[in-house]
Amino acid sequence: MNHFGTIYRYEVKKILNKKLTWIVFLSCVLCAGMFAAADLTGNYYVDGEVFDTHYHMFQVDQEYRMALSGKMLDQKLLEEMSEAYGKVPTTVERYTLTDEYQTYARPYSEIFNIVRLWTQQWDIDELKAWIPDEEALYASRIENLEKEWQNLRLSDVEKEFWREKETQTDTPVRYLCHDGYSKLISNGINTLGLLVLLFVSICMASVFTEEHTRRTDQLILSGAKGKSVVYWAKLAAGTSMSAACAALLSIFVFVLVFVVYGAEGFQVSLWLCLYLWASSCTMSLGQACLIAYGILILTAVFVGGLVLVLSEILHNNIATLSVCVGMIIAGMVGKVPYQYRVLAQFWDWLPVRFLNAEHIFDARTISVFGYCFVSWKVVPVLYILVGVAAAIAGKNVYRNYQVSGR
Amino acid sequence: MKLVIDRVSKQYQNRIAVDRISVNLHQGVYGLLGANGAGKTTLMRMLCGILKPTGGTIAFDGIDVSEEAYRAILGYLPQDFGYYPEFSAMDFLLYLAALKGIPKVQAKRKAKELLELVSLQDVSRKKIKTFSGGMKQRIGIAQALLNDPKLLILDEPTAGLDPKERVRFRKLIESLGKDSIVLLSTHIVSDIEHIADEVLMMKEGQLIYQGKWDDEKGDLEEFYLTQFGEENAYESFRDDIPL
Repeated sequence: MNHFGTIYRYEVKKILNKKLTWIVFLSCVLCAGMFAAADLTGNYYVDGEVFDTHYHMFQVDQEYRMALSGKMLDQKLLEEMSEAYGKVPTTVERYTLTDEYQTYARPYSEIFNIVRLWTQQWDIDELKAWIPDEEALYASRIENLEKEWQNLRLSDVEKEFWREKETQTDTPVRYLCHDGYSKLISNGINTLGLLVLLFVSICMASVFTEEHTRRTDQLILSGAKGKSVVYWAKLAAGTSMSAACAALLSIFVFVLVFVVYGAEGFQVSLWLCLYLWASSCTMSLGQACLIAYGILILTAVFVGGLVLVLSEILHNNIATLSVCVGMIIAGMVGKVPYQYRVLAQFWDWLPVRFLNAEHIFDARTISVFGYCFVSWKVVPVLYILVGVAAAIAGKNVYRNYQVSGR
Repeated sequence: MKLVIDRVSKQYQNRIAVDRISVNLHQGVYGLLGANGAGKTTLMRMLCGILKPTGGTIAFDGIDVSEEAYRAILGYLPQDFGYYPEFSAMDFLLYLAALKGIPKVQAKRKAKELLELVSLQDVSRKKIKTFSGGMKQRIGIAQALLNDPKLLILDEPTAGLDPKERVRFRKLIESLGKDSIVLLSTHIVSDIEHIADEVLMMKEGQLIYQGKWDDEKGDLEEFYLTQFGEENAYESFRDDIPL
């Protein structure tokens, strides 16, 4: 009998008994709630005057998107969109304020934005002059993807891999209103990622160190199971609490976002998501959301483990917290240019950077013997391997800890 | 039952805390005396396997100090131990019982028994943060006895106990010494005089006295003060006071 279960339960109890855990968690819940509602609060101003409320504007636009939902992005829809936008005068300073835009074009603004991204044309006059052509639109998307792949320094093998993936999606694609999923994937994952990393850094840094500062380490290490089972039980308690925090926050945000923005559009193609239009992954937007939030939970476990091991190595929770916050800030502000392909790719695998749909569904892959492994499959495996190696290294530090001084 | 301490040393950079101590301990109560910094706590920590000796070996009936089996027969009350303020007395004991590898059912029974022994049965569900210093010390004593240790190491066990509790505790130690090796360190010489079968005295990391103490050898406290030069210090202090 190794008593792992009993010790694990007491280790969880120690974490949950701390006020700090609850304060940080509730702050995260509050921030997550604010994130979900932030876009919809306040007013939209034109020349210093209230034009509309953001919430009303969203309601109107969502109604238009719902009207488009289920339609194929084909020649017919493109012609409808083009005809509607053709009525908008371009001689005015802001065409979006004209009655023509509000009456005819606004219902098609979502399709218009997709065309803009796929063709990479931003000038309204050029777009008005664009002759609707389904084939040309899809070809233009591929053409712009090729340019993007060039910027990312993809190898020929990788380009071929993605070209092959592109052919697996049937065209034309069907548009589905996907406001909720779009919100979750565009900035939900990185907002929640940041909150979870802060929670883990703050709350897990003291799991091991507190035993030293409280001087309970003497009782633990002199116990029969103190040098073996306790280490793994602490690690399991810390990582499972990190995972629980990530899972609870994810569930909270999913529910909130679905209530506010709607839960339609699980099956919509990534091509139609304004944030991931350049992704050639063959999954739907809903599947991408599930993968991204699954990775969030796994990353919480990985970072939780690293924080725990680091705190045992440094024997100081403030030092551990400083290192973790330093890494989070460095990951947020630092960016390695794409021309340094390997370094840039590794840098974007830092947890704080990786928890971003753009990096999870990155076109840069790991090529091994002519086969390309995509980031969302490789990085979690890498996290698990690094995590296991760190845990084993930490075990040796823990085992060899000497109670001296005081 | 034999604890073999063979040429055990502990050196910190330029200071020797424990200097080649060799002693064999058998069933009974051993009182460890020594001034602050004599190396008592360091020796005790090494005997508990939480501090690695620089040299020498420690083994209980052939089981090395580094082995789990050694820690399974060990009970330890550190001089200055911590607790979990949000844990109840019962939780604290059950947690430490799990650390000692005691099966759940047995742990519950033993925890109840020990809480009664240290007169904390009425507050077993109360959080430790509400306890007085003496109550915390008593829960510390209880945790050391959870696994019916064959080797019991008590560093300043009577600190914080009131006189009545101290007498009760002395009796408890005496009875424990019948079946196990009990090593206790204290500054209170009378504690040792009353319960220790043998006295170990440390000075500057070395064992300067080991053996039984009886009335024929004189007053233990006087001997102790002479060894540590405190009698002289006291006398010179007395001379300084204008009468």
